[in-house]
Amino acid sequence: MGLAKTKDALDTIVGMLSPYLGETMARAAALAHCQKLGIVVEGTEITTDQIDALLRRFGQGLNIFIGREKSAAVVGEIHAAMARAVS
Amino acid sequence: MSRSRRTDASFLVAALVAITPFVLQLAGLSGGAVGEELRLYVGNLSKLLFLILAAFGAARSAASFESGNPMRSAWLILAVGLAGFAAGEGALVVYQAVLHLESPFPSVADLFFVPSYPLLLAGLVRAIRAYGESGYPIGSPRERALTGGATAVLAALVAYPTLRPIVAAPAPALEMFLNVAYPVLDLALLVPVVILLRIAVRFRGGEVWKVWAGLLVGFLLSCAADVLFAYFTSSGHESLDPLSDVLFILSYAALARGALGQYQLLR
Repeated sequence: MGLAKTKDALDTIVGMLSPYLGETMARAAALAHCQKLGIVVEGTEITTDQIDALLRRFGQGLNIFIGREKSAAVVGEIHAAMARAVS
Repeated sequence: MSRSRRTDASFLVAALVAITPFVLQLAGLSGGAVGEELRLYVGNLSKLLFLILAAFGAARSAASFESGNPMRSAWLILAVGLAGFAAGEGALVVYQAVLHLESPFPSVADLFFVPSYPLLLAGLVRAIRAYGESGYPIGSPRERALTGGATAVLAALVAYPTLRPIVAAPAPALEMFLNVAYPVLDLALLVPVVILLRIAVRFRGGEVWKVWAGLLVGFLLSCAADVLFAYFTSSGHESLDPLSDVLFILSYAALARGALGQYQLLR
């Protein structure tokens, strides 16, 4: 399995979270989480560890909005979509 | 059509049907005795039904959030507050639609309505705290404090001219207290409502936005309805009371839509 472009990975995450959070919040949250984790967005590839850390952060906050069960399901779907994208 | 859109459409149609007899009355088409009966039953029952749905949606949302999630207690407190509103409305229905009496003021309904406000306030404040803990970019605590402060000042500016004629009008002490208390409690509720609205607008386009848009529009309309009702009653403009009914029905429909929206989001 290869590495995904960070920007493409974020687009996937934003696309899957937008129905719940709206595109503005999904994108703003993605960029904020990347900044906190020290992930550079432009012109880089994202590692599996970085994706895991990023989705863990997303999931923790998402619990507040849609509950732990739904949050875990959404994060699982994002993981699956990322795996499909890079395989 | 998605489930969410079907729910939106159902609430919109139900609310429009419920306000029609009151809008016609405001337009000068009162419909005589039939119109009067229609307003009595449609008005009372639609308000009660929407409030029961709101309390149900909030209670189911509380039960669906896992224990330890701060939104669980926020929705639980909101559910109790909304159930108090529903009980108060139920008392009014008994007076008006069952016993065919003019509902007295003050009445047993006020025993339910008044204590509901601190609960709703506490529920909304809890929700603001929980969203603040999410780690999502919802604005800084300072921004929320400034928004709350500005809203409180604006509310005070609205309250003074609105409450002056109410206080000046001769009325028994308890009636006067309630006529002042309702608009004041509504305006107090506006502080967390506006803070939450500012947070929620960042979620526009998503389902989370719909939940809060419904609840917050509901509280805003309820505030407007209470202030207008107190103003019309104290200033002798009772002919405009149907406007308060329209606002109350739309308010309760929006509260129900918001609370059920959260429940749907959790399922």
